[in-house]
Amino acid sequence: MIALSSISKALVACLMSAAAGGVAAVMLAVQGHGVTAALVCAAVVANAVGFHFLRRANSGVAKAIHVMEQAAMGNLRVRVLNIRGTGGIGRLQRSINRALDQFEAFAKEADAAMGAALSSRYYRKIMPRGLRGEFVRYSHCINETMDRMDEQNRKLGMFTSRMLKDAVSISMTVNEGAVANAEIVASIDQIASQTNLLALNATIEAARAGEAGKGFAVVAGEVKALSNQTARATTDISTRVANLRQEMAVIVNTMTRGSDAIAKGRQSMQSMGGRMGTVSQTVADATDSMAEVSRILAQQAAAANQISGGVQKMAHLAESNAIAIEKSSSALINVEGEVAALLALLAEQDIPNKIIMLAKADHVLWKKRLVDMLIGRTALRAEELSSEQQCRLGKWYYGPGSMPFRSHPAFAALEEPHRQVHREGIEAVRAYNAGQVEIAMERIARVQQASLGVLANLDRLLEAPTTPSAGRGAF
Amino acid sequence: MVASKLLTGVARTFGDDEIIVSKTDATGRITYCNDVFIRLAGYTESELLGQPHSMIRHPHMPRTIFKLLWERIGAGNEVFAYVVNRCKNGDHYWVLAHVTPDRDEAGKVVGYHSNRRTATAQALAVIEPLYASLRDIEAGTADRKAGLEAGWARLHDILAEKGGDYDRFVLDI
Ligand SMILES: Cc1cc2nc3c(=O)[nH]c(=O)nc-3n(C[C@H](O)[C@H](O)[C@H](O)COP(=O)(O)O)c2cc1C
Repeated sequence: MIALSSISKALVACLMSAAAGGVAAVMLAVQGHGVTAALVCAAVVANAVGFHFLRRANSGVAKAIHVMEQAAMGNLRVRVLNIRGTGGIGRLQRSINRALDQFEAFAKEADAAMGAALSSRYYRKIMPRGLRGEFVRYSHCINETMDRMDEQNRKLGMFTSRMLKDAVSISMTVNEGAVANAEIVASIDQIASQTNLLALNATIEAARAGEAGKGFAVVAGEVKALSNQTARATTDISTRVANLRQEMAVIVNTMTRGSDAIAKGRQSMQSMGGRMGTVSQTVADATDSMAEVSRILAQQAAAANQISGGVQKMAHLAESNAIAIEKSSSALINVEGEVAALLALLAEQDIPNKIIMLAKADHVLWKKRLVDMLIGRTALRAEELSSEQQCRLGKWYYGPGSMPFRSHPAFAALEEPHRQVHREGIEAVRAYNAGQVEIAMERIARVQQASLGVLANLDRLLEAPTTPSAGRGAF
Repeated sequence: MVASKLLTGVARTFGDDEIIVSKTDATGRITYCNDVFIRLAGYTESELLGQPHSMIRHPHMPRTIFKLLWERIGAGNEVFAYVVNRCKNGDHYWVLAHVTPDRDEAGKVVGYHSNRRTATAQALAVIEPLYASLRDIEAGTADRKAGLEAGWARLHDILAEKGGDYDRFVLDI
């Protein structure tokens, strides 16, 4: 014991005083001072009693010291046991226990509440009942924070699930769109390969016909070029659709990892916004390229029609080539079916200026029916052919759908050739049915001429900077 | 031990700003109880230290609840439970007990700790009939073990009706 406490010093003093008293008592007794010796003896006994209580106090303080030293090290489990008496030392020991009870209760509550918050059980709050003073204040503060975390977590959860739902529905729409695109691509492919066949056929026939087939060969070459162009457009669409799909998969994947999203919250929302922008751009691109393809298709159909015109001339020039013409023509029949199917598909798609593109294709098919009549494939009656007001283009032209285009010069220029196409076509049928084949052919040539005017003006309209949605709602 | 079965029907109370604290070793023997505990239970500290905690067990407590308590803390979790305790003289007092494992610095469970708070009248209006029904079910079979199993099943049926989460149930009432 190097550093003695006051109690320890008092204990030592007690011992020394008792020893001195004992010696004094013996000496006094030997010298015959009996009364004085007895008094000193009494003092020694009193000293011993004091020593006993001092020792008890000393061990009580030692226990308190031991507990507080451990508590100071962060061990809140320790307590003072076997507390005796209601004096100062006993009160000190009880107060130490009470303080540790409060500390430990608060620590246990905070631990449990924070642990629960970690697993989103925000209802497990600190129970302030039984706590006192500042512990109550701290408890309320933590509980308020938990309420707020709960609320934010709920909001974030709602937001995430809404985003997830959006993403799923977007990806579904895109998938549906992709399926539709794939169908279009497939039918374009088919047409392209059939057109190629047709061109090959025509080239062979042109070679056989010699000088007379020269014009025919030029057309055949054009058809071939067109079909190659179509094939290119097809691959273009396919890649775009594939890109779009991949992009969607990335988004859906990002959103499914919802738990990360909570931590990275705002950041991922921002990048999500960016991605959404890219996706809508890609969708717009795909739509553009579909429009492009449908325009190419219309041109292709026109070219196919020119072939059939050429085929007709060939029929007149050489009766012997009739069988070959029949072959080419039956290939054309397939094209007609494909074009019609494509038209139906196109009609279902929401493409800007759709009506104008459809009108172009309609007129190509219309002309083809005339040619079919000429080569004897079908019989036509004049009443069957529609007037320029009743066809799809006519309905659009004279109806409200064309409002946004009416100020365009090509719009006015379109009316006359269009009327001529119908008038000459109907006259051609009349002449043919009256046995005047020569006149019918002349009129069909005029139909062809007028039809070029229609197509040219339609193309000018398509390039017009009118509102892109002008063609929508016309159906 | 006949004396320990005596019940006076007198309820004792303590303050809302007081907690009754006790600690046990890993087997449930009392290693510490605070002055509020001693005051309410009516035993001296030396009578309590070293005794099993069932020393203050009240005969109205269903065994099912203690099974739940030991299962939870045995798995290292906290548990809240309404408990009625018996004082030395046969009086009783209701508490909302929170029991947790006590761990040393290395995280090892060295015993258990319980803080008990006052129980609201509102909670007891739910708990007392529930415990009475559990007790009846437990006593309804000749075999003690089967009785406990029946009580256990009943408690879980009731919890399933209320959403299945015992902690939510006990904290919400
Ligand atoms: C920390 C702790 C505190 C406990 N407090 C009580 C209590 O206040 N009252 C009680 O009856 N049982 C309490 N128990 C449960 C008892 O250990 C015991 O399981 C219960 O009294 C049932 O006793 P029995 O199994 O002998 O019937 C406590 C257990 C632990 C671990």
